[in-house]
Parts: sequence; C-alpha cells; structure tokens
Amino acid sequence: MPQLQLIASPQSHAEPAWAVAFNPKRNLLASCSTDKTVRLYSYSLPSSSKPVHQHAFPSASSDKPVIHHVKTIETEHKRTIRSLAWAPSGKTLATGSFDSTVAIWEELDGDGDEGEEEGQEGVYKPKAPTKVSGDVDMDDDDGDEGQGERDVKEWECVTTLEGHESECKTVGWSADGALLASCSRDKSVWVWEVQPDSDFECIAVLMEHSQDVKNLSWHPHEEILASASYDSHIHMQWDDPDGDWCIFQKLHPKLPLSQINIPRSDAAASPSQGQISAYNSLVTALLPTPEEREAETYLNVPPLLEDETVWSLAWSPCGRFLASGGDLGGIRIWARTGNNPDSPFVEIAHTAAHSRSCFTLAWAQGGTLLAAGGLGILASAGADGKIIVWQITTPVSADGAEADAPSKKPKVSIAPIAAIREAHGVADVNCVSWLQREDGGGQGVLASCADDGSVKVWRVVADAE
Amino acid sequence: MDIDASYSFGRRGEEMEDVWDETLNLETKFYQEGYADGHAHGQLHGLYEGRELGQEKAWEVWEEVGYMEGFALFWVDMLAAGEDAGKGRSKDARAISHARQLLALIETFPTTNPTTAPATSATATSASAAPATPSSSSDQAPSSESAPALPDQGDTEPDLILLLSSIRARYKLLCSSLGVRPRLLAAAGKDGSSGAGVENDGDVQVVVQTEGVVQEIEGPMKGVDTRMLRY
Repeated sequence: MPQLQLIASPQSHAEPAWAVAFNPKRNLLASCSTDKTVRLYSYSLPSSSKPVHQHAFPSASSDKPVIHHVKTIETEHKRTIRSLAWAPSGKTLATGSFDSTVAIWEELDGDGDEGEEEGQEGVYKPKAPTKVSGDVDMDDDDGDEGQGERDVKEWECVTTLEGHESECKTVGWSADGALLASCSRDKSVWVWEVQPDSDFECIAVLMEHSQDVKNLSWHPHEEILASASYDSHIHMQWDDPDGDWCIFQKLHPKLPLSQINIPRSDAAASPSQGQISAYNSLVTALLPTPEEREAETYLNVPPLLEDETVWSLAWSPCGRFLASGGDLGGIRIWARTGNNPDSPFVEIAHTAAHSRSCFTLAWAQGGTLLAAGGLGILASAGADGKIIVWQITTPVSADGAEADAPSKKPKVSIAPIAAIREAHGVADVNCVSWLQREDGGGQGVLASCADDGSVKVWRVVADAE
Repeated sequence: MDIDASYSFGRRGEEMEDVWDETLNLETKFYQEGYADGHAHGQLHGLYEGRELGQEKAWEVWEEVGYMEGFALFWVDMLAAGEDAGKGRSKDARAISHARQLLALIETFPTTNPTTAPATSATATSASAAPATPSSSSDQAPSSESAPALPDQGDTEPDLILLLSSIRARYKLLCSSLGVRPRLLAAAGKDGSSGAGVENDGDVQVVVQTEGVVQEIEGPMKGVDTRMLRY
C-alpha cells in the first residue's frame, strides 16, 4: 500500500504560506505568503528517479530528492500574496495579491537587460543572500546556489496588472501560456492576453458570479476556464468563436455525500508487514480517533444546509474530468459529456474526504496506468490538516476502450491510497501541488504549504519504511 | 319580568335580536372599519413610496450608465480621430471596439417603464423604473408586489440586473484597455457631493446630500438613506 513520506521541510515563511507551485521546466519550487515574499527552492532528483514501471511508486528506502531554499524575492506587493502560478514556459511567474494587483516576474539575464517595460513597477533591488540563524532545514545551504544547477539569479517584476477592485484570490496560466486569468473578491474573473514585450492586454471581464470568486483553473489542453466561488457555483468559461468570452455552463453541486471507501484488498491478501502498517496508517489517518469522535458528538454541530463554497478546482490530466473541493470537505467529480469545447459537464461523484473545508486539490499523472483505466492521482488537503492522495480510475470495457458513449454519464471510482493527518501540525493546509515534469521524473512528489508558513515536500512511496 | 330574549318572537322579537346583534358585533364592526380604512391608506402611501423609490433608483442607475455612455462616446471620438489620421495602434483598435460594444449594450438598456399588466405584478424591478408615470393599473399598490422579477418575461423584457452587470464588466474592460482607472463609485454630482452616501466630509455636506435621504414620507422609509439600498 502506498504511503506519503516526508522528504523535505525547508526553511520557509514565518507567516501563513498560501500557495506552492513547481516550475514546469526548471528544478524550482515557489511559495508565497502573507509576508509579501516569494520563496524559491531548488530541488534535485536522485539519478534513479525514473520509476521502473510506469505505475509503480518508488520504494521508501530509495534515494530521496533533495530540496533547499535558494532565494527570497521581496516583492513590492502591499499586502499578502495569495496565489502564484508558473507560466508553462517556466520563465515567468505570476503572483496575485490582496492588494488587488497581479505582478509578473521574470528572471534577469546575466547581462541584465531583461524587460524594461511600460507599467513596470517594483524593480527588485538585488539583496545579499539571506542568512538566517537557527535553520532547521535538512540542508543548511540557505541562499547558496543549487547543487549542480545554474545560479538562481535575481527576479524582476516586469509588469503589474491592475484592474481588480479588491483582493485577488487566484491566478492561472492557460495550457499554452498565451492567456493569464485572475479572479478576485470583487466577483469578477479577468482574462489577460500575453503580448510581446511582457505586455498584457485584458480581453475579458466576467462578472457573473454573485459572490467572491475563490479559485480558477484552466483546462490542461484547451482554452476553457473554470472558476469557483463562494456562491457555490462553478462557471465554465470559454472564448466563443462568435466573438466573446462567455460562460457556457454554470455548475451547481447537487449530489449527496458518499462515504470514503478505503480499499481493503491489498491488506487482506497475504499482507506483508509493511503493507499492514501502511494500511493501518491510512486507516488511522482517515478515520476519526476516539477523541475526535467524542468531540464531535459532544459538540453536536448540525449539518450545514446552505450551499457550500467551492474552494478548489483541479482538472484531470486527460481533460475530461474536473474535481472540485467544497466547504464541507467533500470532493466532487464532474465529467464532460462530449468532445466540443463547450460540451456540458455533469456531476458524477461526491465523496466524503475531509472533516473541514477542502482548500486545495491537485491532479496529476500517476498510479494506475492509463490503459488500465487510470485517470491519475488526486491530492486533497484542507482545514482539517490532512493530506489525502486518491487514485482515480474509470471502468474500462472489455475491448479496452473507455466504457462510455459520450451521451452516457461516465463513471469513476475514487479510492484513497495514502493519507497523512496533521501534515503541518495544527495548521490548515492551504495548497498542494504535484511535481509534473515532461520527462515523467519525480512522479508522486507533492509540495504542500500551510497557515504556519511551513512548506513541506512529500512523495508517494510504494511501501512503508 | 322574566322575558327570555332568546324566545322573543314577532316584530318586537326581531328588534330585540337586532339590538343584541349590534352590541355583540360591535367589536367586529369597528375592526372591519378600521381595517378597511388602514388598508386603503396603506395602499395609497405604498404607491407614493414606491414611486419615490423608483425615481430614486432610476436616477442612480442612469447616473452610472449615463457616465459610462458619455465616457465611451468621448473615447470613440478620440480614438476614431486617431484612426483617421492613420496613427492608430492595435491597442487603440481594441479599445475602440470595446467602447463601441459598450455603447451597443447601453443602447439596449430600456428607458421606459413598460405598462404593468393588471393581472401580473412585477414586470419591472425598481431598478428599471423610469420617470414615474402613473400606469393604468395604479390602484395596484407596489408595496403589495411580492413576486420577484422574472429574468425573462416575454421577448421584450431584458434581465436588467444581468444587463447592468455586463455593462459594468464591459466598462471595466474598456478602462483596462485604455489604461484608465475606472471610477468605482457612482458620481460626484455637480454640487461636489460624494456618491454612495458613505463619505461624509462634514456636517455641511451631509445636509446637502438630502437628495438621497427620504424625508417626506412617513413610515418605515423616513430618514433612510436610500442610496444604501443598492441593488
């Protein structure tokens, strides 16, 4: 049975850390925080990091990736940085802040003639590498260059996008990097087009949510944008060829909760010691402890009847499914019925997951093979402090094709395969992000950040240590 | 004399019954009279208050929409002049098209209040109320309209809230493409009073801003700053 293994806990923020993201092209991890900084961490994968079989997670005793902090970018944001996103090219970083602006960052070349563009604000003045005493990270090279990596140079803010009237909650790049979307508490979703010379042109403002827009997520290949809001709806938006960005569907969750189905098969048949302990840890992580059970009955909180905020969104790597996490801690799966960009979505599953809000979801390749119906691994985390990794599969028919005609409702099965409780102690986990590289290396490596400012990196291993 | 009233008969008996009826039903009679009186009074005042509110809201909505229209018209002229002179940049082309789309949207915003049909009540939310011309069914008190405005009542009635929000979205888009910060609140008026009733620069300003505060009407609306009742 797989497990989540902690591989690094680099020195990170002192105030709540809100988002983490791996650079899709370079060996960098970024995190942002209430302290208005962005921290960059460099990682290196062990040379044997390619999994032997595509679907196998590495063994717990194999060499671990190494991560350490390399740079702190002191941004000119005036308030908390709530979200960050790497462009698919890996060269540009967007940060969304509570000061209602979105800043775009690029790395200075050695000769320093990186974008002196219009609207340039907050030129980053290079600082001496930060030296903090009392480091507790595993590698104490704070501020030094990455091992065997080219130097991490200074990062400069090349543009500031203004326009939102209140706090910006999430930013995201489209699959090809041509568009950037931002959403805000002012109920609007803005879509910006990237022009040459780091110029950004706003091409759409969508104000159809009736409340704070918490999250947005682009489709992995097409230009479809999903936005999730406090008003409990998910809006699916696209650029209508007839000329304008518009919403082609408003999703409203309806399905009731179904209980978590913890798979027993592996532990039942000829269990090894490692498997038993892994299974036990999954069970301990997911099921409430006797104290918790007692506390719940004592508190006697009646279930919430109002519609729940949708906090998080994640697309499946194949692009046919969308997962959403809600305020009650459940995860819903929506399936696309059809192959057009504006094909409608239907809700097909709603599983219990967390005992409090599910703040973040991340869905990547991994686990069961595609040919066997595997849709990837989904990581979820939230206010209950747990990180859960789910295997999502779809039934495959006898002839090997996907079992569903587009008109029928697809089915998926969601099963937890690994979980950790109190991943960051008592702090809420705000964001999780999978490492997804083109060469497939480092599969199952997950970064998380929490309200206590800590950033941790985990990996899914095939067995317990 | 033990005359038992219930056994009264004949003409004299009837009179006695009427007398009893009158005294026993006195309460009911006064209650009904009072109710009828109050109801009619309430209807009348409800109508007045409704018209007042409608005028108020119409003014506010159109102040905002009118500002955006003027803004768009100005920029269309400015940018068109640039285009003609052959100095237009692609950014300006984008801005012009946003401005023109904004104008087109504003054109669709209704400027008259459709006559309310006698049977159905809410065909217009107060956000759409035009100058309060008394409609033919003016005996129907607006305060008794409890049915919410439907988004699509027949082909002629656009959803005004939606329209307003798409106009605002288009305006923000236009501002972004021009590089201008949009004005967030409804207007500063000619007398320099601030909008939205939130900022009070001092007592003098508060007194000047009585246009927003309902003074004349008795009842729950008195002393209420209707600009706080934004839709």
